[in-house]
Amino acid sequence: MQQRKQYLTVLFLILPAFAIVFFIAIYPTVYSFVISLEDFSITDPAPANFIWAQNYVELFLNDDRMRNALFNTVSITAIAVTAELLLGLILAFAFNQNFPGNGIMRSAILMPMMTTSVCVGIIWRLIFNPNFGIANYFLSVVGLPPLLWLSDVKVALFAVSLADIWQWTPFMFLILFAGIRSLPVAPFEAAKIDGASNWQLLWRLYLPMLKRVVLIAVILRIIDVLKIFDIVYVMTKGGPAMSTDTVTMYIYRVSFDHFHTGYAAALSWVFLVIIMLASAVFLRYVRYAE
Amino acid sequence: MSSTQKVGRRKFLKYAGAAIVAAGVVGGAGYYLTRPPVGPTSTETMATTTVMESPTATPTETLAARLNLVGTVEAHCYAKKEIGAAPDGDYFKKTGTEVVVEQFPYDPTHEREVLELSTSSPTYDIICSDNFWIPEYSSAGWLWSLDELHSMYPDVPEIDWNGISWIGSHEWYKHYAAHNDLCVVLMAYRKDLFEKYGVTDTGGKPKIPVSWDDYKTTIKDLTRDGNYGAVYHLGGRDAGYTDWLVRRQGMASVKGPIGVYDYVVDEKWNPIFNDSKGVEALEMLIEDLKYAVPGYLGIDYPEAIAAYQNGKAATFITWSVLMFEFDKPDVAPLIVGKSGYAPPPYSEEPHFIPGGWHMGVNKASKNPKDAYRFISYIISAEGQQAMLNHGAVTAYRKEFLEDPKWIAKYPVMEAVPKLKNPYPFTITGQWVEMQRIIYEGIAAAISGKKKPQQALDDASDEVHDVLEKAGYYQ
Amino acid sequence: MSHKVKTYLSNLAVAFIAISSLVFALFPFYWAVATSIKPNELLFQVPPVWVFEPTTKNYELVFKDWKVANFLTNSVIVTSISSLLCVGAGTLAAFALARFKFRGRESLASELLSIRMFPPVVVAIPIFILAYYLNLLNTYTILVLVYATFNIPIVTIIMRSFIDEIPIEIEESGMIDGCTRVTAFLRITLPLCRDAILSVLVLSAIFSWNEFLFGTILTRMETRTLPVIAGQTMTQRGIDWGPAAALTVITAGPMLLFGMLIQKYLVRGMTFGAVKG
Repeated sequence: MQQRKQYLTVLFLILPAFAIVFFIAIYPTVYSFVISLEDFSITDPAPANFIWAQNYVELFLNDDRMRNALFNTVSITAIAVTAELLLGLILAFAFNQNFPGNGIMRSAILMPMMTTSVCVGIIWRLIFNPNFGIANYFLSVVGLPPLLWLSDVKVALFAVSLADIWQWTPFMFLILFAGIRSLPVAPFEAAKIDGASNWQLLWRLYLPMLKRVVLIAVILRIIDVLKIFDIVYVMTKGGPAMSTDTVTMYIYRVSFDHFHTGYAAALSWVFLVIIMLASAVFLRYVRYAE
Repeated sequence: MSSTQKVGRRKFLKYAGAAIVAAGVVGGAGYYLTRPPVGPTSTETMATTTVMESPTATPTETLAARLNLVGTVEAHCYAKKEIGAAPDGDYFKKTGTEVVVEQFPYDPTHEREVLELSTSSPTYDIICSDNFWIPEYSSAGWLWSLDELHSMYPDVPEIDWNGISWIGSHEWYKHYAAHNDLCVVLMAYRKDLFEKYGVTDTGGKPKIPVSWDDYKTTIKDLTRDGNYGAVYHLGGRDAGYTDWLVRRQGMASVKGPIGVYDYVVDEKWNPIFNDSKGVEALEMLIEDLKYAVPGYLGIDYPEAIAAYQNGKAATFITWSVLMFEFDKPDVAPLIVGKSGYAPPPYSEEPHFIPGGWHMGVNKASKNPKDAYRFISYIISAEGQQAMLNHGAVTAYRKEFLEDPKWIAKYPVMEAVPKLKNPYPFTITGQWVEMQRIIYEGIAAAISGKKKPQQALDDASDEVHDVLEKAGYYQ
Repeated sequence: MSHKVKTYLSNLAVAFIAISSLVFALFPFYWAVATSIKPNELLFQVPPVWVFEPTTKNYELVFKDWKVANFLTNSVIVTSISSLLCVGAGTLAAFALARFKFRGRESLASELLSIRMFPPVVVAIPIFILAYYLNLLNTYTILVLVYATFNIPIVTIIMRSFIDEIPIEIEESGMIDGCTRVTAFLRITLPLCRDAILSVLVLSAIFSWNEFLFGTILTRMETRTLPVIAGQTMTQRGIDWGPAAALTVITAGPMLLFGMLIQKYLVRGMTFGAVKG
C-alpha cells in the first residue's frame, strides 16, 4: 500500500514535466523516424515509398557533405568549448579575488550570454567585414595585416567559433565561479599553512574538487554547440566554400531548399545518435568522478 | 515544537503570498491565452486583423471580405499592402475586398510558403514567389492553374497577358503565376571614376566594356588608390551562381528552346555547363578576381551592395532590382547620381538573365475567384499605375517599359531597351538543388580545392543524378 | 621574488584579466549601440568615426513603423509563462528523480536530456504540422509549450543535482513533525534551493527570450517575438545595419535588467550541489 502510494506520488510529480515534453516531442520523433525510412519529399505529390535503410546507406557511403559538415561541427565544438573552459577558469579565478567593482563587473561580463544569437551573428558579421569592419581596423592599428575573416577558407571556422566563445564564455564563467565559491575553505587553509604554492593549490586542490562542476558545464556546452545554427546561418550560411558548413546547416538546406525531407530526417537521426554517444561518454565520466 | 510552528507560520505566509502572485500570473496568462490576440495596426510590416464590412457589393456577385497575401519586401509587397488596405486602398475602394499583406525576408518567405502550402493550409490566398520557386510549387500541385481559374470564372476580368512585357519573365509561367516585376542582370558603373581615370572614349564619355576581355582591361585600369574595379558576391548561392552564369551565357552560341535550354542543361536535360565554354567562363572569373574587392568568397548581396555604395568598386554586375537603391540619397549618399547602367558584357552574343517576382493562387485557398481578381487587377494598367504610385520601382507593362518619360525617371532603366535575348533559368522543381551543386563547384574552384574543369565535371555528374532521381530521363 | 612583488604582480594580472575581459565582452555592445545611433553615411567609414552627432532615426523607425513595442510585449508574455512553467514542472520532476528510487529512474532522466539534444531545425517541420492540426498556430500556447519542452531537461538536471546534495534527513525530520513527503519538500527543501531556482529561471528565460527558429515558423504578426523581428532586418537588398543594431540593443535590454537584478543569487545557485561550506 505504501509502495503504491509512493508510485502514485512519483507519477504526479513527474507528470507535468513529462506531459509537456512528450506532448510536443513524441510526434516529431516518430514522424522523423518514419520518414527517414521513406523517400519522402515534401513537394512530391505522390505518396512516399518505404525504402527502409537506403537513406542511411547512402549517408554512410556517399555523402561527402555530411562528412565535411561533421568535421566542421566537431571542430567548432572542440575549439569553442575548450576556449570557453579555459577563459572561464581564468575569469573565475580572477574574480575570486576581492577587488573594488567586483560585483558590478561580474554583471557586465554576463551580458553577452543574454544576447539573441541572431543579433550576435549580425554584430560580429559587421565587425568581421573585410573592408569596413572594425576587426581589421584594430589589426591595422597594431601593425598586423588585415584578415579576410569570414571570407577566408582557413579563418572562417575560427571566426565563427570566436562569436560563440564571446557569447557563451560568461556561462562557463558563471558555473565555474559558483563552483569555486562553494568549495570548503578548510582544505585550502590547511594547504597554505603547509606552505603550498599557488600553482600547487591550483593543480592539487582546486581542479580536482571542481571536476564535477567542470564536467557538467562541459557536457551542457557540448550539447549546445553541436547544435549551433543561428550564428552560422547569419554569418556565413556555411561558406566560404563549405568551410563552416555545420550539420544543422546541411540538414536545413536538404529539407528546406532541396526538399529531400526523408533524407534530412535520416541525417538528423545519425547526428542525434552521435550527440547521445558523446554525452553518454561524458555522463559516465561524471558518475565515475564522484 | 513552538519554534517549528512559528517558522511554519512565517513560511506559510510567505508561500501564501507567493501563491497569490502565482495565481495572478497564471490567471493573467490564462486570460491572454484564451482571448484572441490583437495585432498591431499597420504600416510597413504589420497586418491588420480586423475585417471590414464590404460596402454594397455589385448586385450580381458577393466578393470575399478579405484576402491574405504573403511575400517579400523585394516583391514590392509594401505597395500591394497599401493598395489592398482598408479603408483607403485603391483595391479596397474599388471592390470592397481587403487584402492583408505579410512581408518577410527572402528565406523565411520561402520557408513559410513551403510549410503553409505543403500542409494545404488556407491561410494565404495569394503567394508572391521568386520565379524559380514557382516550378517547385506547381509540380507539387500547390498552385491553381490560372487558365483553369479563368475558365471556371469567366466573369472575372482575365489577366492581361498581352499587356505585360515578357522581357522580365517567360510564357511558361503564365500557367501558374503572373509576374509583376522587372529584374534583370545589369552592370552598374561609376561614371565619375571612369572619367577620372581616363577610361573614356573619344568623346570623353565612359568607355563601357562590351566584351569580357574589354571588361578585364577596364577593371584592371580602375583598380587603384585602394579601390577596385569590380565587386563580386561569391559568398551566396544565388549571388555566386549569377556571377558565373552571366559570363557563361554570354559565351555560348548554341540556341535551343527557351526555358529548358539556358546553357546549363540541353533540351534532353543533360548537363552541359561543364563544356569548354563553361570552364572558360569560370577560369576567366577566377582571373578577374584579382581586381575585385577582397573577401569575394564570403560576401553575399548585402556586403557587395555596401561595398559599391561606399565607393569601393567601380563596376558591379548584379540584379537590377538591387540597383534602385544606388540613387537614393538617404541610402547611398556617397554615390548618388554617379552611376550609369549598361547591359553586362558578352563574348559571342548578347544575352541577359531575367528573374523576378510572380503572384500565384494557393490551391487550398477558400477564395480562388477573388484571388484571381486581385491578381488581374495588379496586372492591369490601373493596377500598375497604383503600384507605381505607392512606391514600387519596377514596371511590368509594355506601355511603361517602352515609355521614354518613365524610363528617364529611373536611371537604372536606361539599360533595359538595350537588352537582347532573354534566357531565364531552367524551369524545373529541382532548380534550387541544381544551382546549389553548381555553386559549390564554383566555390571549390575559386578557393583552389579543385581545378575548374574537375569542379564542374563533378557538379555535372551530381546534377545528372539529381535529375535522374527526379525522373527526367525516362 | 619577494612576497610583496608576487602579490603586486598577481594583483596586476587579476586587474588585467578583469579589465580586458570586460572590454572584450562589452565592446560589441558598444559597437551595436554606436551603430544604432550613427547616421547612415558614417556606418562604413574606415577608420571608424568615434565622435559623431547621434541620430535616433533607427529607434524611431523600429518603434513607430515596425511597432516593436507589440513584439516586446509578446516576448515578455511568452518568456515569463514558459520559464515559470518550466521551473515549476522541472523542479517537481527533479524532486521525484532525486528522492524516490523507482525502476526506470535513470533511463527517464537520460530520455529527458536527449530531448535537449534535438537540433530545432530537425523538428521544425513536424512541429509545424502538429501545431497546424491542433489549430495552435499563431498562439502563445504553442510557443510556451515548445520552449518549455526544450528547457525542462536543463531545469531538471540542474535541480536534481542540487536537491541530491541536500541531506534527506532535513525532510525526514519534517515528516516526523507530521508533513507528507511532498509537503516536507515544499516547505523545507525548496526554500533552501531558492538560488538554484532563480538561476534555472534565468537560464530558461534567456533561452525563451532569444529563441529564433520556432518564433519564425509558428507565428504570424500577432504573436511574433523580438528575435524574429531582428532576423527580418536581413533582406536580400542588404542588411539594415542601423535597425538591426537598434534591435540588438532593445532585445538585450530587458534580459540585462533581469540578469542584473538577480545576479547576486545566480552565483549561489549555480553550484550543482558542490559540497556545502
